[in-house]
Amino acid sequence: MAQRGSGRTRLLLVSLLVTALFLITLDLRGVSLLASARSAMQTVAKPFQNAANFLFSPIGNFFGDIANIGQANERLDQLKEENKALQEKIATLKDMRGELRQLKSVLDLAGRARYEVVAARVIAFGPESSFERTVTLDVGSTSGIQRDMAVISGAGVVGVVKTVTARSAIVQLVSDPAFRMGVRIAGRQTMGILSGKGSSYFDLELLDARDTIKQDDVLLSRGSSGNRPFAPGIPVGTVVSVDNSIGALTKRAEVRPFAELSSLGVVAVILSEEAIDPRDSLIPKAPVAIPTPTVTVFVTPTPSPSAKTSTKKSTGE
Amino acid sequence: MSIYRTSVTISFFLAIFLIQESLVNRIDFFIGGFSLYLALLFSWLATEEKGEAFISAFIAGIILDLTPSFDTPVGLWTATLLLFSYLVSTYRESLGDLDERPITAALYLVVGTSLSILVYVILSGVLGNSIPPFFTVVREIAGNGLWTLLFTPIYFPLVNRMKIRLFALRSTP
Repeated sequence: MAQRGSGRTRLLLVSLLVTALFLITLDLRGVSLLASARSAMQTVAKPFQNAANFLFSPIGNFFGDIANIGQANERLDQLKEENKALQEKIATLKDMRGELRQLKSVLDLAGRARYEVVAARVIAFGPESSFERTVTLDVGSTSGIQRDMAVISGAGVVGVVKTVTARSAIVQLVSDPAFRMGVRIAGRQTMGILSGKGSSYFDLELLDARDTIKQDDVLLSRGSSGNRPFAPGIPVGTVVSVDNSIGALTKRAEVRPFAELSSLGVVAVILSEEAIDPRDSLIPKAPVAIPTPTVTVFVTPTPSPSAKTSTKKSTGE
Repeated sequence: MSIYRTSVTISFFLAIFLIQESLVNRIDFFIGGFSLYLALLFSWLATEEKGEAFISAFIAGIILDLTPSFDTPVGLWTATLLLFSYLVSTYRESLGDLDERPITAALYLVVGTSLSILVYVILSGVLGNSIPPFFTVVREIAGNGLWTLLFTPIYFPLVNRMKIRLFALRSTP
């Protein structure tokens, strides 16, 4: 009996194998029935696949994300590097834009005054601890820079060249406590001595005790002998407060400079100037306030029906 | 093999085929893939008698051969699985009771599924189909072996319990 059972299973195996081989042969011969069977299977499976896609695609992505975590980290590092490089680029561009704006304004001022200038970049600020206020420029004697040349920014006086090397120059700023320069009040011939005091404001002392000075007066350089270091008419600053102490021998005032000395980027060294005094023409124009338009709404009340009725009654209609 | 048993087998493998096609194949396993279908087939075969094993393998093979994405000849998986059903049913006694020997069960499933894929690839090449690069085959087989091993404690007892419940209930008067 066992032999018969074994024989039957063997026969079953052989017949199933033969069927499989027959199917292979049919398929290799290109019988379309089998292709149709696969197509039918696809039709059966498709709704399930769509449903699974709708329900479980986040799971598949989750596993995929875990599987690709190494690549994702690599990509993240790459993006961080790119981001860092881009941020550096943005910072450089902002810096360049700022420098360009300063260069444009200083060239504009030099052009209006007809100065021959050499543009320079501020490459270092002097140490605060030394109480001197200096900056170092990236131009020197090879660019024609000499001692006692005036340095201006787009807004006005910055300082005077004190030390020159072949490729750099040290500038004493107007804010330096040892700095002195002759100034005049714009529109008048009132003269005074401006002196730095190590802060962002300067002291002004008028030469004549009878002269008057008031807040918002604009100061211009008076001009030095042989226009060295200063040519006349360079904007210096505005008076912010006046010391009217009774009994003082001269009038004193506090002055705010036009030039932003703490954020100098690009400046110009005046090499030579024309003999014409620009007078007050270089005074920076005050920013014009742009008026904000206001919206005016007109409302005309419409009479209500009840009001109409009451009006009719009162008129006896 | 009774009609009931045959219909249960067809339904079971058809359901597993749909799960494999619609769900498991969507999961991006980072090494190779996982053939739940083959793992469950070998789990199924582990407790089958010879004749039932042949028919089960034939049904499972036919369903697998009808996978639309395959471009191998219909009948190739059937022949491969019939060959393995013969081997499994012949040497099943030497494996012992796999319910009580989980490591042996896991190894049996890993070796069974891996070898069946390898034989399928070789037979496919013999029949003139293009064989994937060696490294790809190794990675797929290794990946499938790994996932089969890892998931054995989940699916193997489930298949056994399901079979006992389905067929024992039927045989109870």
